Parts: sequence; C-alpha cells; structure tokens
Amino acid sequence: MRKTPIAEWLLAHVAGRDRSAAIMGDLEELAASRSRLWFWIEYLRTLISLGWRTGGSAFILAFVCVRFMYGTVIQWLMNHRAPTLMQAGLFGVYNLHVRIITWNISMVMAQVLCFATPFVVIRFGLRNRLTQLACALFVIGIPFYTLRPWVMDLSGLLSVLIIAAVLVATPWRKPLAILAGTCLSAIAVKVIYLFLLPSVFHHRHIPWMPSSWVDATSFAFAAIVCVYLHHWLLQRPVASDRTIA
Amino acid sequence: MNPERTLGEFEQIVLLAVLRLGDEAYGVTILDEIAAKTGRNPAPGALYTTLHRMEDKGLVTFRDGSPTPERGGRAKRFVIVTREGRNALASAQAAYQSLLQGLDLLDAKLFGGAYA
Repeated sequence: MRKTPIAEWLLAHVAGRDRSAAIMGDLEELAASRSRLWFWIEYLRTLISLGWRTGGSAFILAFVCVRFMYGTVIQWLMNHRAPTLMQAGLFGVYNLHVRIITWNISMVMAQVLCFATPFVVIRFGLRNRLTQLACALFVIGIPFYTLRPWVMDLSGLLSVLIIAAVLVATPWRKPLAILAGTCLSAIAVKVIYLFLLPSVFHHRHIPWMPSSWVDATSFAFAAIVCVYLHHWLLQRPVASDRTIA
Repeated sequence: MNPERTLGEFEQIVLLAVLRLGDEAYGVTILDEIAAKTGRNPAPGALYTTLHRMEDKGLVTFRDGSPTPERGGRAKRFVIVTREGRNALASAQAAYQSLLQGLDLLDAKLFGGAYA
C-alpha cells in the first residue's frame, strides 16, 4: 500500500472528503489484485467523471461555448441578415409595440442562454427539467440573430408562448424561476457596470474592463445564482433525513 | 410514474446489486456483484458517479465502516437503499414487467431457437 495524499486531496475537491477517502480505499483494494498502472488509470477516469460536472468546470466550458457562439455562430447569422428590419414580418409594419416586446424578450433570452444552456447541460445533465427548458428556449431564441423580420417575429412569439405555457404547467414553474433568476442576475451585473456605475460615479474614473471580463463576471455571478437556486428549489432534502427501507 | 424519479438502466443494476448484497454493499463488492451477475465490468468512476447522483436524489444513503489496512487505513462506505430508492426501483421494474407481459422471450420459435 502506498500513500497518495495529493491524489486524494484533488479528488476531495470534486467529490468531498468522505467520498474521496472511500473511493481511494476502494481503488486501493481493487488494485491489490491488479497493477499500479490500473490504479492510476481508474483514478484519472474517476476524477474526470466526477469532476467535469462541478460548477467550476461547467463554468469554464460554458464560457468557452459563449465565446464560440459570439465569435462565430451569431457573427455568421448576423452577416446573413435581411437588408432591412422594416419588412412586414408576422405582425405587419404597424404593430411595432408587439414587435418590440417579443423581439426584446427573444434577444435578451437568446443572449444569456448562450451561456446558461451549456452551463446547465454540463452541470445538471440532459435529464434535468431545467436543462430541457433552457435547451428549448435556446433553440427557439437563437434564430432571432438572423435579423430577418419573419424569423424574429416567429422566434419572439414562440418564446412568449412557451413562457406562458410553462407558467401554467406546475412542474415547469420552478425550472423557469431558476432560469429567470440566472438570466436576470447576468443582466443585472452588466447593467450595473455599463450603465449604473458610470451614471452614479460620473465625476470619477471607473476602471475600464474588456467586454470579455464583463461577460465573465456577469456569467460567473449567474452561474452561482443558478446553482444556488437549483439547490434551493429543485433538489430534495439530504439523504440522511430520509427513511431507510 | 413521476418522471423525476425514473431510473436509468445502470441505476437499476446498481440498486439491485446493493439490495442483493445487503449490509456488505460498498464500491468493491458492488462492482464484483455486477460483474458476476451481468457479465459487465463497469468502471469504478461510472459506479461512483451513479451512486453520488442517486445520493443527491435521495435514493441511497451511506454509512461508514471501520478503516482497514488493505484500504490504506481508509473506511469502507456502505451503501443503503432508502425507501424512495426501493419505490423508484419497484416502479421501474413494474414498467418492465408490464411490457414483458404476453411475450415469451425464451420462446424457441420467436428467436429461431437461439435461446432455446
């Protein structure tokens, strides 16, 4: 038997101290009839399978997805936009108020969901209601960036309809509340930095931050809010409180 | 059945293995039991991920054993299936049973004698 304190310490960061000690013990016991190489391969596989769904790695991977989306997909969609946004579209040119409401919902939603969707997919998995809702709204929201009035109108209308339907269906309300909290917290950080701080401290110098830093800060805050709300609203009480059969 | 409580195939296998092992269910014995009864050799990482997910769902809970020298002085962590875990497993198995009704999977005619 060899001591592996660094390996155990690393595993404890993704699985917790109790769990990591038991896992290392199991691997030691299994390795007794196998090789030391097997031990390290299985250790690494365990570390990756337990670690890639943690908040930190989900945030990093989701942020990479956001940069990719902003830099390529949305850029490409916007390069293929319609020459004018004043075409009749779904609601006609005289219904600007309807357009403004649905377009704004769709645009803001799609922008924040570029981060929130990959984050919840990695953190909570595809079988989670929050992930399923985020994916549905993302798929409906992202065509907004084609900047073609028909598509934008349809995207906005579908977004509003889905949100209304989710509000009626009880099992989907909590996931919607989590998603709304996540989106609003990301927006709040951006609004505070870009609009509120300059207006309050207009006579002082506010340190300039690159847009990617502002994005990272707002998304980090949104990720924390998302994980907290998910734990608070969707996860059940801890297992130790349950009746053992 | 509540869709939030639906179990994946591997989750069901793990729960059944834990129930078969009773008080002796921990990582090593669960892996051995699955290998012995199903012929599969799941990776330890897959087992721990599943166990931790089921712990978060409240389907299993753990109790600590005493440390042993062959484990580097580390304690075993025995798995216990909660009442919710048993109910979820029973629901999943009832669904299988319902689908299996009327089918004779070992019927020689149906499979051309392969399983006869």
